[in-house]
Amino acid sequence: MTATPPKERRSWRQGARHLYDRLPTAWLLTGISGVFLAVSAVFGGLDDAPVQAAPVLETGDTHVGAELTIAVSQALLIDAFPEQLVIPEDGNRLLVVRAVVENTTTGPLRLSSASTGPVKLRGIQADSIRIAGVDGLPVTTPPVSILVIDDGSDEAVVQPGVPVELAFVWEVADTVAEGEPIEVQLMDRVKISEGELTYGGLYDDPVVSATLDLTLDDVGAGVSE
Amino acid sequence: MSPRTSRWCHAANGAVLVAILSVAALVLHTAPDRDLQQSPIPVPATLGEPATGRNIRATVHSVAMAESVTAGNGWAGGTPGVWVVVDLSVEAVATDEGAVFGTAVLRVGDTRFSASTRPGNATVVSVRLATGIPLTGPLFFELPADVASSAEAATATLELALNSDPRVDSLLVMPVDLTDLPVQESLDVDFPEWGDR
Repeated sequence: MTATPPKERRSWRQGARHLYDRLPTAWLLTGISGVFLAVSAVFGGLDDAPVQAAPVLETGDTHVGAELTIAVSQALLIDAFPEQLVIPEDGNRLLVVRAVVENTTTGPLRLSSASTGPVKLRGIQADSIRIAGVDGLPVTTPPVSILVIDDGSDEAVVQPGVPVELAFVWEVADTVAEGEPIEVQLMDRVKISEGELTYGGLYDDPVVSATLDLTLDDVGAGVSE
Repeated sequence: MSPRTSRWCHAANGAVLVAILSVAALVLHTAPDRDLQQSPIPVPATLGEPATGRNIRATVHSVAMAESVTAGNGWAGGTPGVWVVVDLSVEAVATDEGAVFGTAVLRVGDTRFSASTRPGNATVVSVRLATGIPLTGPLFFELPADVASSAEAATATLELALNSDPRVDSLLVMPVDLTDLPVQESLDVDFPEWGDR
């Protein structure tokens, strides 16, 4: 026998190669997954990621969002705003949330309400607030109207750096009474990118970035304050 | 094929590939991007002189700044900032179809302020223009006081166009020095009327 067995001639590199070739793929994948999981255990493994609860604000606190800062001051019930033609149907009343809104972007933002119709100003809508905890009013219901409190105009275009006090108006059943608690949710939308096929920014669905618990006041037929 | 020719062949392939990629990069980076292709066509304007775009002609008569304003319909909206009131005549040139005076923007630095719609029918913004018949009236801009007196306010521009989206259409651009304007305490503004001033 003159032949030297090839095994002895192998370098460690060839040996590793040989081993690797013989390793079943399934083992390899399982091994890699196992290593991945083991490493992930250092960062918390398969535990549920902690969900950051939206902070709860006090009345009058200023919430700084991505585009708007919002300070909610009051929630109240009122019969109607006849001068602004915001008149609820029979058996309904209006729920008004007062808030000072400031635009921190570099362009005007139009706050959209349900009645904007098909014509909208380009790229300048912002989601701002919604209410929860009111009987018969789904949380996603947009306000029927957004009024500028100073002059009652019903087109809320918030100019950059100019704070404006707005009345967000919802129509609710008249069984909703003074003293009931409601939750005001302050919404924030995140810009994803500029559109490739469309013009203007693309935005992610708005998320609740802060909440506020208020007690409903009642001003009856209506006074300005 | 000898190894030598093969090597040359590879090198040539590589060179051609690099050349193609460079040309492609050159085209990609020098071609007008979408913003440039679709940008509005600026038409320079000056105070008191008519400026004419594709379907809009406007003459800015005056620019004033005031802490409070009273519009021609009695509206007297308050603002925590200041009002910049632009008095102008504006008309359509070619057709009144779709000629809505939708863009009236005061640009200070990078910040855009749109003409307020709060005064309702006492402002000329969003009004349907008539061909050849000027509409004379005010635009109200609501600005933070510190912005109106900032260094950038010296090179502010007033931008006027049809439709809320002025892309690929004429945009009348008039420079305004806001720092040059005295801040009046209050200002009475006329109701818009047809005809020139």
